[in-house]
Amino acid sequence: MTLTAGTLIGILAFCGSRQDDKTFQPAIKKFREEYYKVGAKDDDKIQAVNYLGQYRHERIVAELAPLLTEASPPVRAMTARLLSQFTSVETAPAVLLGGLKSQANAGKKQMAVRIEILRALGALRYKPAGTEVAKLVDDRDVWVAKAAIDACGRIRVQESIDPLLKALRRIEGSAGDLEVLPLEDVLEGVSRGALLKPDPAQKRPTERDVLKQPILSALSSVTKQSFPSSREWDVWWSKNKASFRVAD
Amino acid sequence: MSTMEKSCPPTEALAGWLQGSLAPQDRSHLASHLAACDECRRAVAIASTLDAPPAAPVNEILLSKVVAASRPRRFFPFAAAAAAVLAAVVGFSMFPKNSPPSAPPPAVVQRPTEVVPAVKPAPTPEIRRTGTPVAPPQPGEAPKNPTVVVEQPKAPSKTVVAPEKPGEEKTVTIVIPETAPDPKPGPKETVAPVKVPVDVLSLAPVFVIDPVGDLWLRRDEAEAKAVSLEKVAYKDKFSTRNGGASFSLEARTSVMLEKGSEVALWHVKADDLYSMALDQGLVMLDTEGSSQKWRISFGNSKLDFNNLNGRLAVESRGDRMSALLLDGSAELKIGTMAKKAQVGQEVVFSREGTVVEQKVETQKKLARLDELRPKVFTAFNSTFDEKSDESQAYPYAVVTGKRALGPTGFFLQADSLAAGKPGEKNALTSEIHLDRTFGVVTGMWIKFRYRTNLPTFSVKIGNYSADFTSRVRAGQWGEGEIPLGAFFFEGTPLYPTDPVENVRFTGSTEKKNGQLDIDGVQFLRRVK
Repeated sequence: MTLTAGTLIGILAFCGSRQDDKTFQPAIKKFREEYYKVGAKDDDKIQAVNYLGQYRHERIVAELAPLLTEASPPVRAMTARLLSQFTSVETAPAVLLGGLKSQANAGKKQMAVRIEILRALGALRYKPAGTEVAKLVDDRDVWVAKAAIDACGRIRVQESIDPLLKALRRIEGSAGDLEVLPLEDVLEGVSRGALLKPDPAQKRPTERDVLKQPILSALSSVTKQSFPSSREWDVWWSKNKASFRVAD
Repeated sequence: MSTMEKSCPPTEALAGWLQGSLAPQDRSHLASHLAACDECRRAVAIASTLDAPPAAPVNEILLSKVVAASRPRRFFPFAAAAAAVLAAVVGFSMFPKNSPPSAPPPAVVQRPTEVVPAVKPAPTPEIRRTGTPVAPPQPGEAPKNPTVVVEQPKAPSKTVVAPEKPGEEKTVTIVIPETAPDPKPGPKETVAPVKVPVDVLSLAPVFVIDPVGDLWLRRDEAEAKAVSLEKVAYKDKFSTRNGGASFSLEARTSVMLEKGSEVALWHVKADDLYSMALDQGLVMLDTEGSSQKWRISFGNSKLDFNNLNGRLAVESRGDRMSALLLDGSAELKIGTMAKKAQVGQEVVFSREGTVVEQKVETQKKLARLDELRPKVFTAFNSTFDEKSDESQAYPYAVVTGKRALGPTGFFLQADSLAAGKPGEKNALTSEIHLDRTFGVVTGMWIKFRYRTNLPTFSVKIGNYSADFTSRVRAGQWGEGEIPLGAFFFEGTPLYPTDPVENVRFTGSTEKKNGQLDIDGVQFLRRVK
């Protein structure tokens, strides 16, 4: 009986898959023609990705998944941004999480890709990604850390509280005095131009300026509590950690 | 929505629209109204296609009926009842009881039995001006309606100031001939009818920007060299004489004309369709990375390119027309045939719709296209001197700040916001909102003229911003440019296809008299 039911489910899934293929095949075909055409630039590829992204389905996610690790950084970033809109497709956040873990997106030049993936995971509120996202709350790149903190506030898992508190304590100390450097030469192909040299007299924001408020907001979102500094948060957390559960 | 009740123009004005006899300003106002008023648009569209031969330059009687019919009929039951009673009374009083049932009107009795040629072969320009607006050029199209009797108008007054030499770059003025009909009934002329397409009112003018080369624009009988910004209607024609030319069409498409070409271009708003009727020569298009719909009209044939994203060459060969996708992709449709266009596969078709396809070499045309093409592509351009009417090529609105008048024209002056707390700085902000959003393209940059006494200020596009360090002394004007790839939002740059909807200039200062003036904003892309 079990075997029969399993076979039936398999047949149905197979038929469903075939039907999906038929439905999306023209769009996928067009996407492939545009994306892989000879001489296609990033602009063409992003347009092709945007075209395919109109169809929100697992089959489309499967088609876009390899781009998160194999395409150029702008195409990866735009693919991640597009997948953040696949709210009703279960495979989309899993693919994004895979992209975040991938070594292909670990370099400095892929910083914008990581940021876009973190924003996307936050937008999709993908709880299985909570632990992985929380690891990046203390990232050395301040904007990656900021994106991870924001994502923690949206995903809302208990595992993110400790990393958030640790980050809060860090930036309340002297480490928070570090100035946020301009993003010059961080991203491939981006140049600020001759007239955009930063003014040495201009005061740059510190990490504390950039990160403290987002951390407090994220903690508040996860715990539904509100405290102004790490000291109060530590007191509350030491009392409630054992019994705390994230409220739905 | 019915805007008819608010401020609908009188029937005479609609008739004037169809005649083409309205003053440019009136025409402009009416065009705006027609764009918003379904009833008037429907009325004019129907009236313009009626086949009944009118006794006036435009079938005003029918037009008024159509207008009346298309307007909301609030009092219809009462009016109809009153009209029926009145008609009955008048009818009984006018017809004697013993009158013959139906006497033919004298005109019919006196009509000679000899067949008179109904269509005058070549209407003079003056006569033509009195007719309805001409349809998009369709060479060889036979007139369908045999006779239209119109009144002889006054000789049109026209002023054309053209450059003395064809190649000379000079601003010229074209005054469209006035065509007010003669109030007195004049001698009757029979002219070929000019059939207005049903969708004529959905045909929007196109904007031609920064023409380069020997480009001429013919409007009615007047012709002049195209200037930096032209608003071109579907009945206007571009031509090149002594050399090739190119221009940017509405900042969306680059259009290249080979020497000796003549073409009409227009836009069908409803379908976002660009249409082209090529009389002679060779025209090449580059959609500059966007997907567009294009239609090539030739006699009764129409070749459609949907989702055209690439470069297309269209060439007139007398009784044949050729269209060739040089690069990129498109879906083509002609008659019942619809398929994906192949690069290098030339489609040659006739006025009657016969189609022949052949494989050809594209390299020479591509090389010529690159030679002719505009070297800079403008996505947005404002000097703040634009009048806020429909003729704006790049429509925008000032959200923050105000347009101030200087010695050389208007500029955008930032609003000053005083600091709320001690220690805070005063803020200066100006912002414009672009009515026509466009997507970022690789290699695009923003260029602006500025005058400030701040050492630095920020330029923002949406959430993305770039800091700019001033290089001019206070009170002097300078030019700045920033690549769009240098705009960041929390660690991520602007990417291709990201929309550009607004531009904001912000700065802060401790001084009370902070200054941040912007005179001219452009979004450009150099074409490699």
